[in-house]
Amino acid sequence: MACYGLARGLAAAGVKIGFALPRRLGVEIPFLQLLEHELQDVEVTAINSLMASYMGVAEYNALRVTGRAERMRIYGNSLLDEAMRYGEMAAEWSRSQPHDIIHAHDWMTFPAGMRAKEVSGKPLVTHVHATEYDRTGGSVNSDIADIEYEGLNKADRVIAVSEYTKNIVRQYYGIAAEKIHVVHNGVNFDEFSPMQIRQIFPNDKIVLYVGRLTLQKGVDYFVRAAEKVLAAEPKTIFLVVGSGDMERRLIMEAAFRGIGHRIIFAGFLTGEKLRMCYQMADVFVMPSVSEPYGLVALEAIAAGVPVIISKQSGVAETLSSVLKVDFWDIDRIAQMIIEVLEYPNLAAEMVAAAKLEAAQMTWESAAYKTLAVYRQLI
Amino acid sequence: MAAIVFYFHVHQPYRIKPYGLFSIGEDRSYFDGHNIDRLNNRKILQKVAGKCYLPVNGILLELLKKIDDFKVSFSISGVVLDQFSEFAPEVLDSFRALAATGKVEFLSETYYHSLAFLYSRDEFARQVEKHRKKIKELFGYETKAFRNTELIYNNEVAAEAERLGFDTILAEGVERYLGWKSPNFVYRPKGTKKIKLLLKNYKLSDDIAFRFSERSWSEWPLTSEKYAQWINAINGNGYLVNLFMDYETFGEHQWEDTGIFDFMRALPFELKKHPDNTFMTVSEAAESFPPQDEIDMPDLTSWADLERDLSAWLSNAMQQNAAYSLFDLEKKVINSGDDGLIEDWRRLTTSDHFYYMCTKWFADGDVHKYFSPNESPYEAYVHYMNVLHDMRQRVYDIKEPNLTRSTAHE
Repeated sequence: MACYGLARGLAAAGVKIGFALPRRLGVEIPFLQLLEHELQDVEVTAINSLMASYMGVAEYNALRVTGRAERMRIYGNSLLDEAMRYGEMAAEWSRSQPHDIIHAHDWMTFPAGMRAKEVSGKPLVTHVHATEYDRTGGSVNSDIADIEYEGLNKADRVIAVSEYTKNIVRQYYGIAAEKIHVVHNGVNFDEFSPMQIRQIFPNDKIVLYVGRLTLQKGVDYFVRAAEKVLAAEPKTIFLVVGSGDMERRLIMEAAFRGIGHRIIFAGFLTGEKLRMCYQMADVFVMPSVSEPYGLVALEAIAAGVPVIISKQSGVAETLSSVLKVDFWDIDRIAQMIIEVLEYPNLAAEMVAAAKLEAAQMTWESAAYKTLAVYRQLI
Repeated sequence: MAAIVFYFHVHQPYRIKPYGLFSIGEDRSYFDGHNIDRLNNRKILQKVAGKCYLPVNGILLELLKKIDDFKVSFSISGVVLDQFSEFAPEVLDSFRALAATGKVEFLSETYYHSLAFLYSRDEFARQVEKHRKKIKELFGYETKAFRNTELIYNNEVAAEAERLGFDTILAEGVERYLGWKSPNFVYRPKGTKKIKLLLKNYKLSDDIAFRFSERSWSEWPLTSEKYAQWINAINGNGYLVNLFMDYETFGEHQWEDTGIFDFMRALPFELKKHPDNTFMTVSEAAESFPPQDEIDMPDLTSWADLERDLSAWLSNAMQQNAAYSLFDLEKKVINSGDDGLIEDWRRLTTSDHFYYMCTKWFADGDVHKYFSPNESPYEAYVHYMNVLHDMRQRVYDIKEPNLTRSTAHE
């Protein structure tokens, strides 16, 4: 998502981009030039791999073993092996692509970036959207953290999506502050602008969560806050949009707390359906434990929804007209939700002001900052 | 002598189709999942009719004609009767043909094969009454005996059945309550005056229902000769042998190619070879023998899984939350006077929906998985709860016009 926005911004600024995208192809196809995509003036090449962004080790293993034997043969034994294998293939592909800068996004593509740099000797920019520290809340997979460490150290410049992330990169990976540049993500406002929809719950207030259902996202704090809100505001629906390894546990927990009839697990949604969920919401909550950026908060604002966000997030740096809270402070989260639901004037004020702030957060401005980093290198 | 009581239970639920967030408030046909085979009620019913109901009714009809004293008893849930009318009326005809022999007893139960007894005695009584009327209407039969859903039973169920006018009630022969007592006698439930209790002989019943085709079982293959010997051995040790099982055992749980049809065709003849054996319906057996003793079952039991308790339907938080949320709507739904709404709500009281949400993963988990049309218990729960959301709005919709009217008058 973020790569897409940035690539479009850079292309508009006149940068020629060749994109090497991990994607599952037919077993016999190593590379595929993708012609049908929405990025103008960008060449996108798919490299056959089972990897997908934000994939976890368990998810990869599940994907690799289900299905046919060829899959076992072609793809790496583990997510780590696969990142290395993809790296070799991407470096091979880069030989045919004249380039001035190599730009790698997150750990899965760091080996590819490093290999490509060995091949062409061109400068490497590594872009940090999330670290292993964010994903695991500190109990890191050391192999993945090692790859991150190496990638960040070998890079000529590091781009972090927020000051929050820059700090983590400095503190936990020992990278010099001068080498790290902050480029905040943008949001495509039009994509989420208000529209007329059918109110699925005409009689209830809606509190929305959007994100993967993982430890990092703090969605379990959302469920616990819901219980407290419902005690005061029984006619409230908590809408959970997303899927992830915590899904079943959360469903059971909601039932266990006796609020299963007030929490709806909508699964993973995109496009029009996701937009409708934003439209339905009376308040949006992002309780992330560690959130490098937090694009969903900007999407909610674009849709005209007041937002409550975790202080442990990158997007909190860029917004002042939102309510900020520690992810672990369930009482406070519940209290904020109730306040926004009870005081429509507060909600309206928050939305109007937040929209002005969020409107500054464009992919164009992200692209210009990225270009400035490139210019230091070439 | 040993009176052999064959009692078969016939039931299919109205399964809920995949019902997501965006269906709420828009799609009120909760049970017409025609796009997915495992949730397509019509397809499933017609499949089971072809594999079980029609051929096995044929076998029984022949046995009833050929053997003078051969008798069987059935309980047929209201929801499966409705599905017969809708999807396979020929099955109803074949049950009518059995009824016409005069040697078939029909038992009462809750119309919706529901857990209502556990949550609402009023609704329980209404569903029992509705079922009683249905059996009378379809088969001209006045029921005298009662079985609760999945043989869910305790002293209170027996007392309630007695209060509703039944003479006999069925239960599982759960060892932890029987102690040294044998299921092969008639009993009196504790706290009742006249109702009689028949207990399932679960060893002999499950030999057919569960173990018949199990090749790892030391008694496999089970022949009608061998089985008849086991029953003959009861002579002198009891008055009756209660063989209670799902009717779908024949042809659906145990496929025809296991030889189950031939087994059933031959078994009554094999049993008749012993001069002391005879066949009785549930009520005949209860009338023929005095209660041997009192049975005290204070806690709820059932015929499901190894535990023979309620854990198949109500052991985890999802099941309990779903059931609570459902019965929380009862008064509003019943008072709405909206027949469509009441019918939909009642179909959700069917125990199978809760069975699909079960997360017991040991031995019985396999059975649950086999019988569940859903991808996972979690999915079953989420869809069920979404349907309840829609239903809650229907309740609102009914209330609102009344409110506007009353304000208009002021």
